[in-house]
Amino acid sequence: MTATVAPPPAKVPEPKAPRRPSRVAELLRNLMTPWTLIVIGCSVVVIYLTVIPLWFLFQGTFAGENGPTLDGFRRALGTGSDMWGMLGNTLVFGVTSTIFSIAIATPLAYVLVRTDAPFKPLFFAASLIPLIIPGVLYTPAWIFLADRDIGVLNQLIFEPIFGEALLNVYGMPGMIWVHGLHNSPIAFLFMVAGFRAMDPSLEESALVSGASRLRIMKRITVPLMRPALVASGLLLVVQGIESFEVPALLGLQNGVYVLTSRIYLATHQYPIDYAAAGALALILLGIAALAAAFSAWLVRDARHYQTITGKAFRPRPIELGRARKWVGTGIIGYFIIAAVLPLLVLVYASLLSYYRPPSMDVFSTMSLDAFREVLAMSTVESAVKNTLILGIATATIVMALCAIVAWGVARTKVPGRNGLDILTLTPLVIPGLVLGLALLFVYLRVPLPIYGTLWIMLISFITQHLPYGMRFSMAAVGQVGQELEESALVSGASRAQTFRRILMPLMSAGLFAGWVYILIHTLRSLSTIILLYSPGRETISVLIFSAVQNGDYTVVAAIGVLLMLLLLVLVAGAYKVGVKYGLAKDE
Amino acid sequence: MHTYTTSGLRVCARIVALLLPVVLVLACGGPVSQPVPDGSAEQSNSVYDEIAALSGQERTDRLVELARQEGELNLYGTGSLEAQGDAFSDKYGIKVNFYEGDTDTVASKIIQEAQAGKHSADVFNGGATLMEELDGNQLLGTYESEFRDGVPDIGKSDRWTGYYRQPLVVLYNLDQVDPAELPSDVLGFADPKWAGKISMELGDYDWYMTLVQYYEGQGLSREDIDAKFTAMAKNAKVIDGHSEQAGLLAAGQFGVAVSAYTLHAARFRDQGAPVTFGGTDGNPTVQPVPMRYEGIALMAQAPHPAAATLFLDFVLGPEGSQLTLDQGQLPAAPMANDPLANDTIVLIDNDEYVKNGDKWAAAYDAILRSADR
Repeated sequence: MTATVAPPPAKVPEPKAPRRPSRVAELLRNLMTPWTLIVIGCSVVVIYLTVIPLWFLFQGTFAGENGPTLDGFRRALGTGSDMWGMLGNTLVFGVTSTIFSIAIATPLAYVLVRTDAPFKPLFFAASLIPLIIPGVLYTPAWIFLADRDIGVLNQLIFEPIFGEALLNVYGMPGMIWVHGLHNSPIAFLFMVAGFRAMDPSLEESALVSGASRLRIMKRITVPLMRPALVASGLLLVVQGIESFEVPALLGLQNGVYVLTSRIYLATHQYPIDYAAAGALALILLGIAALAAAFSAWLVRDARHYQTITGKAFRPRPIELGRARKWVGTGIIGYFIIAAVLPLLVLVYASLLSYYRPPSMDVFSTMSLDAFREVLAMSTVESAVKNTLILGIATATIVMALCAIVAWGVARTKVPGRNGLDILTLTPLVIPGLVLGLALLFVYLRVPLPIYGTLWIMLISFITQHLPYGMRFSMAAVGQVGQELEESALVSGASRAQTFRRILMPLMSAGLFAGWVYILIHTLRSLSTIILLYSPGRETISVLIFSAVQNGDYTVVAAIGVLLMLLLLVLVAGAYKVGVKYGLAKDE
Repeated sequence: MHTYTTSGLRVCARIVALLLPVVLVLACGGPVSQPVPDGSAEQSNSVYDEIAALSGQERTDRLVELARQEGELNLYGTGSLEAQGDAFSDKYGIKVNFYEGDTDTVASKIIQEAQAGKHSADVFNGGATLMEELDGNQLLGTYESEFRDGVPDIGKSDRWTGYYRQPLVVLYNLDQVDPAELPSDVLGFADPKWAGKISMELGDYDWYMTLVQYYEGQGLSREDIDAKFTAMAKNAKVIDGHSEQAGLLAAGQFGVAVSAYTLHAARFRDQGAPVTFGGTDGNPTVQPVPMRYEGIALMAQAPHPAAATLFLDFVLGPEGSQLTLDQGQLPAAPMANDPLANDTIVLIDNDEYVKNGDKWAAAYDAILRSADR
């Protein structure tokens, strides 16, 4: 097949140009290569997806009856609203929970990828459990574990032993604990991908040269992981400052307010104050842009972090020796705290008629009624189907799109590429309601049969998950040495071939991690879906929403348990396929 | 040049191959590309006019006939009509499509659709403020029936009809609170002895507004009232969401929720939780009780106008009212042995809320925030 299309080996002489070639023509010829067109095409798609809601946000914020106005900002920052206090809380929450997530996830990922630690097969799927539990359940699970009055841990462990309830899940420390634990899988996925792509010989040579393990960690390992650290840090910080679930449940009770509480106020009053909500979202956007610029500066010397180079390497697991049992204990401890305890609470809650702390009386009333109720819902079958279609489609499209765009941002010198990078972060801070309204506005008017179908939901999901796809892709591109591409090009491969044959396989660990994350995250997205879905096109999050509305927490818990089983099967299956197609194995 | 082209094509082919299954599934996955139905004013009005001229059995028969021809009903609202929708569907064989969400979200969606010239909603259910907003956009149709006549005037407006009463009651957990200790008056929760035992809801601006108006009517100054609310907020755990609040109340995290829904009282009582607001079960009801009507309305350009009218008849009629009651809601028309018969009911002033809702929201928010817990 290649024979028919391959160029003849003989050199075709260039036709003599009668006059000087026009520079425009030359530029055009450079631009017209298929690869350039693909990169430009993908970038245009990303710009299209992000600019529409952004334009809506700006318009809603600044448009007044008599031309542009700053009234939205005035109302948002209005007198007596304690802006600085809220801003401070927002930043403390976002940054500290990020540090916490990364501090837990990095050693875990290192141990999984680089050592002979025990329990590895359990590891990958189990590490995702906190991610799979929807926030609407994970936070209440922690209330049921560590509330002073009704918390199981306080009642069963701390009160009998210490005489008082020592755990208190409310306030800033509790918020950081719960949010940090819940999101540690994001950092974990980044770090696993990063460590897999790292040449251990660098550490080995340091070891041979007499450096201590700690010193190696400090001078070699952590610096080399900078792209993954920075990418996950950026994502987590931005996600932290825009999240409301944890601050709403754990902060409000202690009077800890964050900026998103004010967005809540603006969108829950009558009439909805889009301008004030937009102004606050733009402030968040400003913080996100600063964070993005800072993170770009942190990894400015791209070549320093390229650990996948022309030199072949074979990761050899470090033998832990006597430390092995301590590491094993640590791993088990993490899973008990981050996954097993919340999961047990969930299973426990799903067996009750309404949630209450455990007692003999409670155990005698347990039943499977909540599961029966879920399975009897008329919409459950189509909801599972729609959720899976949307989740798989979103994860695949976003990762394909972002891998290409990330190449453009990381490897070219095109002006504006950093702006594109920041643009992909914006969906994270745009309130879901604004994104939904923007999509409604556009697709109600374009003459395409998209409105009222899964397509519009897919478009909203793709938009919302661009920030994740882009971060995972940027981290993955950042570790692949440019010389590999350069040698492929020198050997006559095209850019497209290089991307497909060299870069994609080398990025596969990072891309797969992003794919898994997005697939799981789509299950939790609700705010825009509630505007865009139509009957027959419900997703699982819509079912959860209506159960929450009704106060049926045991049903919500049952949905959560079933969801977890479904996702574990799915992720395990995807992982198997991934291993078959060259994804590095852990064993 | 050739290599560029072929490998570029191959990458394109790869991407297409990757996306093709997704596209196929989306395209062929059954209901995905079904068009959204669209109503017109003439069509709806002709049906509404025809029905308005009829009464009694004749009206019902004609409605059923026309509604069956239409075959479907698109119900936009909060989801509190699910049971009624299912029963309606069973009775008449008409398919009911639910578009559920926060009422604000659903109302925004209807307005967006209408502004783009798309009219797919038949019936909307939600609060008075949103009803007025939709009416202001000329989106609501006129509904008249004997069932609507049974709803008191304060529970309806020209174009919407209240179908249940939504009192904001003090809900309490009998395991945590001795009913004899409860204050008779809601401001009694400002007493420091309730510290940590009560809960307030983050967004109950109209509850706050109504109580302020009520106590001002009783001769208290705004400063005194707000001082009481601030003291109450100091005692309170602030929760976002009524169902979350009710769930934690049932679990025993606190003993009292000061502005709760009767729906949750009924739901948790049915599940065996020791939760009540008083009413007919012999326990005291804390006074006064702010109340609003949750309304239901026809859309002016409903794609299924007869089904919509028949559905309103059903919801407001005896069968629907019973279902409403079974859900733990109080039907709009007063009942025999009404649980609110002996209470001081204060109707939430909708006009004031539409006019100054943002100010009331900011004031309530400042009170919750100022409380140094």
